[in-house]
Amino acid sequence: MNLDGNIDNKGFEFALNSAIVTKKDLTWDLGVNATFIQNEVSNLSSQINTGSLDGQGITGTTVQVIKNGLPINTFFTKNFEGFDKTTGFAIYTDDGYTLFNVGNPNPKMVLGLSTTVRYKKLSFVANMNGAFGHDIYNNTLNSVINVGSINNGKNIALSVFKDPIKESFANPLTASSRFLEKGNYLKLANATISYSFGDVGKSFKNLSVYITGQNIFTITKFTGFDPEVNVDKNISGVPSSSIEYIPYPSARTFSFGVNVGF
Amino acid sequence: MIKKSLIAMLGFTVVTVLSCTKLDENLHGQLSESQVGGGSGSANTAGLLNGIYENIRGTFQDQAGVYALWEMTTDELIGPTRGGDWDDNGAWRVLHAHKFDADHIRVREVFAALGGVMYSATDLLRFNPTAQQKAEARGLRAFAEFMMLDGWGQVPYRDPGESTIQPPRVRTGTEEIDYLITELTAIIPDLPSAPVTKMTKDAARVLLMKCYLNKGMIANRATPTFAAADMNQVITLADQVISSGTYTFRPVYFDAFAPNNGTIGTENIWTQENIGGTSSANIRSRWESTMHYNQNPSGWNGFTTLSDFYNKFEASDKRRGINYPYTSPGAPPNPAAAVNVGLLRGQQYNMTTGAALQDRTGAPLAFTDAVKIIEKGTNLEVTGIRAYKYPIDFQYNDNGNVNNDYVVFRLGDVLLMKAEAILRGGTGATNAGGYGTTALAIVNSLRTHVSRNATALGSLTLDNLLDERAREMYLESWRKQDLIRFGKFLVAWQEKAASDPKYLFFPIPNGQLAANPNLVQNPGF
Repeated sequence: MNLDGNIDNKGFEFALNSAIVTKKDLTWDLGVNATFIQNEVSNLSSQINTGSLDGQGITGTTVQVIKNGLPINTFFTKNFEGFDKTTGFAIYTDDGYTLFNVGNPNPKMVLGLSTTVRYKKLSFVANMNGAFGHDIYNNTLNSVINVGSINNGKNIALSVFKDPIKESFANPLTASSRFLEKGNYLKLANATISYSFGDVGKSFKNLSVYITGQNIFTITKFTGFDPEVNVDKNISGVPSSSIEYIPYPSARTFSFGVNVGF
Repeated sequence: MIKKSLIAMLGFTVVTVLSCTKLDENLHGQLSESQVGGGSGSANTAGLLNGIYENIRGTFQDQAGVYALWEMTTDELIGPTRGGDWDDNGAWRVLHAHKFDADHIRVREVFAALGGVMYSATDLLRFNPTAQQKAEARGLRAFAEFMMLDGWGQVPYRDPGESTIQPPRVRTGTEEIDYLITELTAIIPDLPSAPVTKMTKDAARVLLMKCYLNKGMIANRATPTFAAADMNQVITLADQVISSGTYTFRPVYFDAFAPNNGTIGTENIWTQENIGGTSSANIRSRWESTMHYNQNPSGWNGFTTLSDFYNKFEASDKRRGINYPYTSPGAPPNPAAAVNVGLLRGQQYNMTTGAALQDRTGAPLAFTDAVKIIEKGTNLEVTGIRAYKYPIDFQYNDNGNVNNDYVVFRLGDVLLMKAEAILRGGTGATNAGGYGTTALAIVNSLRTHVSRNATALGSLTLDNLLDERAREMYLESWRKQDLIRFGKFLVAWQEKAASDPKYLFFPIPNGQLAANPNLVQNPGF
């Protein structure tokens, strides 16, 4: 059954490309593009649940909803208020019987930066990207490295261990806003430094050497492997977004190369 | 070279033409007679009917189906969260506490499953079935509709062959129960008399009894009233079923639910057939969902009953639990002679060695009276009295296809409904089967039968009749209906506060509301 509905994306986007320095021996170009976006669902005849979590004890749990008046895939789950200091059990608003809109998986701003610097025969190219203002559900923390795992001889999250309030081993691993984290990040996606020797002798033309790196660093407070994550947690083909569940970590790679023509 | 370009151009042209075609789909969603005939030209109606019988088993036998909605919402069953286990987003807790909403996973799934049965039964009618096949399909559909009416108060329906693009029409409340009464009365002549695994005349009669008995409740759930004429119908139908002499009590109450209940369950009137090792629905979840990990067979350590329910039984009442005398293969000797079916309370024992069992922390595996909806203590594995009525099929448990047939209707229920109809003002009862003509006599003949072994009641009131229904019919997925009919569904009980009257109905699932504008959300949701 097809159900009609609207998803409106409103916002603005700007791109700025500038040549900051243009001298014979030195050039510096900088490009910035930024997208600010707001997303809202409307005219849907019924809410649709998606974002199905994984793990023993949380069977059938969904944490996202597509609902009129809200951004698509809004996190809709129990509202975590903290731990009871004496018992170490989690406290939820209305004992967890009412679910709340507790987060937005859609970034408010997506940022891209690129720069090229050339000084004589040396050049540096770098691209950064980032996203800001969204939340990520950490399903890994929820169901894999939760406090109860220690009873079964498994590792638990350092954040759980270090928490000054000791969480009870019997605290249920209820899905809630507790496992939502800010997804803000800025990542140096790739950078290359190269040096061009030009023609060397008669047989080597345009000799250059370079070193290039990918996923060089990420600035984020997100505690999972990589904030640039979207593990598929669809229900009946309704996509989820911004849920992290034991993804394969992205690799940081460096490569060194020599270009030469004959 | 030229050839290749030609082929490429030709390809391009074809693609272009196709992409310009106006997409005008003919959606029917229905198969033709030859498509469901397995190549024979005409429809395989016997196969289709068998498919409905197999299909209906799923939602009735799984712990997450009808059982979850009709039992966990009552004082007989609770699904406590135990540390990392059984949180499941609170799906079990909200059922017991009456806090579920229109997106509840079980409410959604059971509604869809019952709708599926109704759809496939209606669909069968398009294919020129025999008179008996037609009556059986209509009977199965009536049963699914009765459950949906009981749960949601609204029932979608279509005529056979009606377009599936248009949303189905909906009957509600009294309109639907009147329709069901007409429908069931109409099909009885064409139904078979046996076997109990099929929709027989007597199965339809018991369903008809339930329609008449609950008619006043369906009309007004908050304050049901019962018409004498309806109660008389219940009594007449009960006497027809009992007088047939087909259904008799066994010396052991739990024989009705045994792995070989297809043979020894002589009080059963309608069952869903499971064939050990070959074809079963998930009836084994009845014991698996409640037994501890360290019991035999190893369970899922989930659901329990409540001590107030346990305390409704006198110690002599065998329905509370016994060491079951197995007559089917594979059962371990149980040297401790421990209770192994019914309500399991206190220390548990190894069924093979007789040794006292421990939980996973090494503490005695002794099930406690106290149980909380969220268990927080160090004893969280052992809290709650465990409850299951189906003697374990040790022969086929590991196979997954166990042999116990699921019991829908049985003699004990018929007698108690007859007694209730008399108590609610019905007249004309005969001494059918020798069980008595008064409500009290009928209830006492049941209670004092050797298989139950309870003492006779001195008097019968609605309150102790409701309790008797609990003792006789517990965990058979009739408790919610009984509590509503007796006006006791909204009161507080263990681990549940008094609940909002809106819970007299289940909410219509949001997805169903979106797909069918003829459904209306029940008040308060």
